[in-house]
Amino acid sequence: MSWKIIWLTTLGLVLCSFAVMSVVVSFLGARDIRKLFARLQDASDTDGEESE
Amino acid sequence: MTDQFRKVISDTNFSSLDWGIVIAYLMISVVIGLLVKKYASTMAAYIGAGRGVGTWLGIATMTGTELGLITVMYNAELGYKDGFASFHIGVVFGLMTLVIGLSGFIVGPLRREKVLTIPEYYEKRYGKSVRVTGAIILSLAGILNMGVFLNIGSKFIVGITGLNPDAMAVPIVMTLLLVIVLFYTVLGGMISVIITDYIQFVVLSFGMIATTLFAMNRLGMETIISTVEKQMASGFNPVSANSDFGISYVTFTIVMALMTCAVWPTMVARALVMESETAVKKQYTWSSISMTMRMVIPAFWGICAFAFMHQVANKDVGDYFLRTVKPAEQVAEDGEVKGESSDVQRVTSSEPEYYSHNKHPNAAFAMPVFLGRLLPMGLIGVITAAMIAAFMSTHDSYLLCWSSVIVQDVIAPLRKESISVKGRITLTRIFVVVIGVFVWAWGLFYEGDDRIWDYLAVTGSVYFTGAAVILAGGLYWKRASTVGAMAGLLMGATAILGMEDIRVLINEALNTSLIAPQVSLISISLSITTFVVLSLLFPDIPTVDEEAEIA
Repeated sequence: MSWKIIWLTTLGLVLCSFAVMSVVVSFLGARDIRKLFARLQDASDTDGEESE
Repeated sequence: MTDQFRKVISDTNFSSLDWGIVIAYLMISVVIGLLVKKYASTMAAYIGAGRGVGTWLGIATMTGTELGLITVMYNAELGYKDGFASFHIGVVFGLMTLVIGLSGFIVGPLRREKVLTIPEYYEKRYGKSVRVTGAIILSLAGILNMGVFLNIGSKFIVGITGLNPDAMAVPIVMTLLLVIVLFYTVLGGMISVIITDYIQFVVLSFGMIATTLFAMNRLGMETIISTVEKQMASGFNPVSANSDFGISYVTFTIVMALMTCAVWPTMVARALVMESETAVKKQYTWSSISMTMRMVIPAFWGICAFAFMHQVANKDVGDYFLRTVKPAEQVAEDGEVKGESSDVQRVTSSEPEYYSHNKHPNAAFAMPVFLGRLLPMGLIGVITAAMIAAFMSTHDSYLLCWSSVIVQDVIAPLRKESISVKGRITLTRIFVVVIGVFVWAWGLFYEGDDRIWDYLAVTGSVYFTGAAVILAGGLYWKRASTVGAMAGLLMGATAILGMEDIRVLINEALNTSLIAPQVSLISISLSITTFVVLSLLFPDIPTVDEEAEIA
């Protein structure tokens, strides 16, 4: 297999896999942000109660 | 600046609408910094986002951090000068990230240790002296590494928007961008960094894929490939004798990629904030795609810019940028494609003074100038916003990383009295600003002839050479000792000798012709050897508890 074919195949694979990954990560990442804020809010509330 | 350069830069499709898109994006980042400030109340939340980041957000933030504008620029430069052969770097980095994701090499056990920074682990395993020494080397190498980010990033913005390069455009853009990054990093710490990273991931993904497809459609793959075949001595084979890379370069890339992916602090910082070790492995496995993409796609843009200058651009632009490619005479000396680079020959003979080791001081402008002419109104604004996003996502993470290492791992351990949480956050914020000012000044005054990538690889290896050796040794080898670790760290720091100015002096003094990767490979060998030998010769004295455990 020539270097040319290797690199052109690489380019095609990278573009396709990144397109799929972008969609998945965009949607599921938004869900993770909601979870992170909920967790930080809980931690912040707990700290507040302890300091009181 | 010459009139020709000014003319080349100013002719762009960038419009008022595009400025609107960019400004709207920057304002969103500032607002986020203000909104999440309330969550950054503890040190764990400020520099570790409360260790509550889920897998998918972790992937977005790792991509956002490691896909900086600097990444885009150095890979575009590699693609522009070395064609498809430069893809090997992205592929190697992707494979090494996958290996680490599947095996959990270093990052898995490190996450189990529940440390916030790498030097914190040094203290747990080797003691305070190794922690402080490691942190000093880490922060110095890291700050030096990011020294060129601001200048190179500003060149992209000037190149694509057509700002007047004479009128202090680069320093002004540098200053404005830095102020915005400092603002939201100082306010929100890791939480705002992660949220802006996520938004940047979304904008970047869309912008990069759209731009790549647009470039392919506009230029045509056949044109791109045939230009590389005709005009580059070794545009496909990275290990060919004619290649600017060669076997020692590729070997160094493989070693460096494994070390970087496993121990580079900004990447590891993302691993340490994940909710579990399983999430860390998943994060690395998925990120192998983006680690490949972040290098391959920009390199492809560089190749497209090269084809554009040869085939599409008008004479002024083409002539100006074609002076950056390898001259025909040099290609002929290498023993291949004699006489094929006629265009290059033409330009070379008219402006020979611009050549310096196959480099041109304005090569970094080629890709943004190409995009400025290729992309239509609207899309050019989106891709510029995406690139500014990339610029900021790298800066915020790096600033936070180095400043927190200085506070947590140098100042705090050296002080006799403990520092309060509030005091640590304030100190971290101060160092974010101090490092920002240094980077600004370094960007204004540093001028090197090495490829951007070579500068980054050398400065990065000052840290990761020793760090990878003693981290791997500490996590996987029971006999690793404090003396061995200290020696391994210091020997790793000898990679600084690979920096251009120092390397030239060494080559002159010793009458050698060492290149940067060879110096780094020597440092890696020295670091491993001294670490192993001195650990065996000077083992740690077991504590009373350890002796009791053995008994």
